Amino acid sequence: MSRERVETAINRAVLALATHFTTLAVAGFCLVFASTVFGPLLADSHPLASRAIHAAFRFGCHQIPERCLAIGPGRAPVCARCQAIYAGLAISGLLVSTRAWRWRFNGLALLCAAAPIALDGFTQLFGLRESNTPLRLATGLLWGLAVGLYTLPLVRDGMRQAAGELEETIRTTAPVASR
Amino acid sequence: MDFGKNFSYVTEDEAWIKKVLIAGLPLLVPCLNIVWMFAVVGFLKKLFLNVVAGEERPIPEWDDFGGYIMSGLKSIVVPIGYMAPFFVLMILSYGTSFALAIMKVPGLAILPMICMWCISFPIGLLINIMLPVGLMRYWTTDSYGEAFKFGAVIGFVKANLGSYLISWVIHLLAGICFIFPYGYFVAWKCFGDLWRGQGETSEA
Repeated sequence: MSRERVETAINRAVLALATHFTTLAVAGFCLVFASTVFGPLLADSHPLASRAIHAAFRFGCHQIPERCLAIGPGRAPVCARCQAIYAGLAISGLLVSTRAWRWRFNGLALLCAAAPIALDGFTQLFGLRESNTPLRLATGLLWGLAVGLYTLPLVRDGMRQAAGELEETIRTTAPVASR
Repeated sequence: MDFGKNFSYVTEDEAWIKKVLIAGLPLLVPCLNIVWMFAVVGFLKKLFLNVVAGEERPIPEWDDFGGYIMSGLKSIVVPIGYMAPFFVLMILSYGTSFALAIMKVPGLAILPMICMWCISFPIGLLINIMLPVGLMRYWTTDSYGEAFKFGAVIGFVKANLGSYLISWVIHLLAGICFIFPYGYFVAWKCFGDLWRGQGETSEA
């Protein structure tokens, strides 16, 4: 294969990545959230899969049973706060990719969304008070939504711009037969 | 940006195998790899500056080991500065864990370390994304102050977000398989092209 063909193949692969980057990210968010739901649901029927999902989330969450939601026969592999963050990311991803959400989140709004989770998390961490499940869910969901709604449109636009530049590069540099 | 060209330019250099092996093989030797890491950083700085200067064969020769090591040592101040907030978070979480362990609550001692993950992971990710721009600013100006102008750093990332993120992913993958400097050569060529495309100069 000639050098030009290899270069065009690489450019096309990167173009595919840039074009579908947001979709891949949203699919990743949804997969992570679905795992936190299906992990406990599979506890009886597929214990091995359920244990594998539980183990996969071990390094990202304390997994204290009292703080994890009971779903079907088992407990979620992450605490309610983490699960709500994943849910928020998945929902925001779906909102952005289906264009149901058209507004722009700015940095200040992101900071405002971070305040409740930081306040709830830190006051509990330093033993000042004990949080509860509804509060963990609400603050986590707000933070997950805010992060997704702030970053995904930015990344989508950036990738769109990169894809446009790559299309132009391929158009001008690709060997005639492979265009 | 022509990513295909940036992958293939390495092999256009007549001595590319030698250059890649010299960069990569010492990294496999314990103890030597720590010193060699600095040399590779210095080498990448030269490569990046060659790309910015528009040289046709930007991969430099391995002819100034001492200079590369010194250059890498000076550059390492930038990652240390960028990682400072991350270190503070780590000290905070480990300190709290240590205090809880002393207060004889060992069951909860591990909790702050894991809970802090929620904060340290996004911060670490953000730092990692911005760090190459910090290095680029330092390398082109030789001023640490420029490396820490976060407004300009974020502005550069935002202005080239798509291409920059793709280059960063290549850099990240090269970092994970760090014995393959080929990936770093590709990534820093991409970063150099972005910098040149942005019209950044030594006076930036």
